[in-house]
Amino acid sequence: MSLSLNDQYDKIYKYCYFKVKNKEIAEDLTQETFLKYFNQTSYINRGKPLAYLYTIAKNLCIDFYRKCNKVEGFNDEMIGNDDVSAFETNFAIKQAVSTLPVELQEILLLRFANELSVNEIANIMKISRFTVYRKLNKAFDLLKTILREEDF
Amino acid sequence: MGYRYHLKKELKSAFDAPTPRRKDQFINQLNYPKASRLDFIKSQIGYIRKRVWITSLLLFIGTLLALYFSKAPASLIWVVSSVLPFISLVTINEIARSTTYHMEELEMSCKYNLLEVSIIRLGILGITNLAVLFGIIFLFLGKTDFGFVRLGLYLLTPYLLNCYGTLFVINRLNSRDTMYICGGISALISSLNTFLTIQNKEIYRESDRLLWVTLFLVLTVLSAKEIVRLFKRMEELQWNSSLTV
Repeated sequence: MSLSLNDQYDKIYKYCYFKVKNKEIAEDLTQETFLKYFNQTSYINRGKPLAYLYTIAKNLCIDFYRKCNKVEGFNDEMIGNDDVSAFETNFAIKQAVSTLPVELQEILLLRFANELSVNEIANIMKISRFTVYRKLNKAFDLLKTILREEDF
Repeated sequence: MGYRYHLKKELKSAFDAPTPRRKDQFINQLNYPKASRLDFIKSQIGYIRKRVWITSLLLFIGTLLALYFSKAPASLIWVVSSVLPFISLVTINEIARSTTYHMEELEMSCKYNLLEVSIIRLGILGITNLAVLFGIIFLFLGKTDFGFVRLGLYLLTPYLLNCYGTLFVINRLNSRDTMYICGGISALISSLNTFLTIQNKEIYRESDRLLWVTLFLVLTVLSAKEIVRLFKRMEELQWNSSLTV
C-alpha cells in the first residue's frame, strides 16, 4: 500500500471527482478518505482489499451530497468550474460516456480508468461478478450505438 | 474486436480529472501506520509453504506414536535421524525458493530486500526445526538411556550433513533442476544413514563420541559457511540490480 499511495491517491481522486465534479471538493474528499482509511484499519502491509478504500470514498461523497442537499443538480452546477485542460482527449467519447446511466459510468471508470479487476468492482459496488460483466457489456453496446450515431 | 479495444483505450482517459494540487503535501504529511518488525515476521510466516509445517508436524507425531508403540525405542533413533534430512531439504528448499525460480530481481524490488526476507524466513524455519528437534529429543530422553547431548549429536549430524550438501549444490548450480539434485542428496544421506546403522549396530557407542562431536562441529561450520555464501550471493544480486536502475 505504501508503495502505491501516490497511485491510489490519483485513482481515489479521480473517483471522487467523477462523483462530485469539483476538483477542490474531490481533493478534500480524497484526503478524508485516506485519513479515515488509515484511522480505521490496522496495518495494510498485506494488502487489505481496495474495496474498503472505495467504500469510504463513496460514503463520503454520499455524505457530501446529503449535506449540500443537491443530489442531482450538483453535477451540472459545478461542471463549469472544471479545469478545461483536463478534458482535451477525445471529446466524442467523453460526451458519449456522459450520456450513460451513472452506474454504468462508474463501472467504466473503475474498470478502465482505475484499472480495477472485475472482482474488485463487484466488491466495491456490492454486486455479483456476473452483474459487473453484464453491465460492462451493456455499457459497451450503448456506447457503440451512441458513437455510431455520431460517426465515431 | 478492434473497435472494442480502441474504445477501451480511449475510456482510460475519458475520466481524466484535473491535476490534484495538494497531493504531494498531503502524502508527505500523512502519518499512516508503518509495519512493525513483528508484523513483518507474521506476514512472512504466511509465505512459508504448508508442506514445511506439515512435514515437521508429521515427523513429530510419527516419532511420538512410534515411541509409544515401540518396544525398543533406542533403535528408533536411526529411523528418525534418517527422516531428518528431508526436513532440512524442505527448509532449505524454502529459503532458496527465490533463487531457484529466478525471482530474486522481482523480490528485491519490493519494500524489503530479499536478504532481509530470507534472514527472517530462515529464522522462522530455524526456530520451527529446533522446536521439532527438541521435542523429539525430549521424547527420546524419556524412553532411552542416551543423554540430551548424545541424542542431539545422533539426530543432528545427518541433518547437518544434508544442510551442507544441499546448500553446496544450491550455491553452485542455478537451475530448476537443483531441487531434484537436493532431493537426491537427501535420499542418499537418509539411505546411507540407514545402511550404516543396519551394517554397524554399534554406531551409537559411547566410545565413538569424539568422532560424532568432530563430525557435528565440522558440519556445523561447513553449513554456516554455505549459509553465509548464500546470503552473500543475494547481496551481489542486489548490487547488480542497483547498478541497472
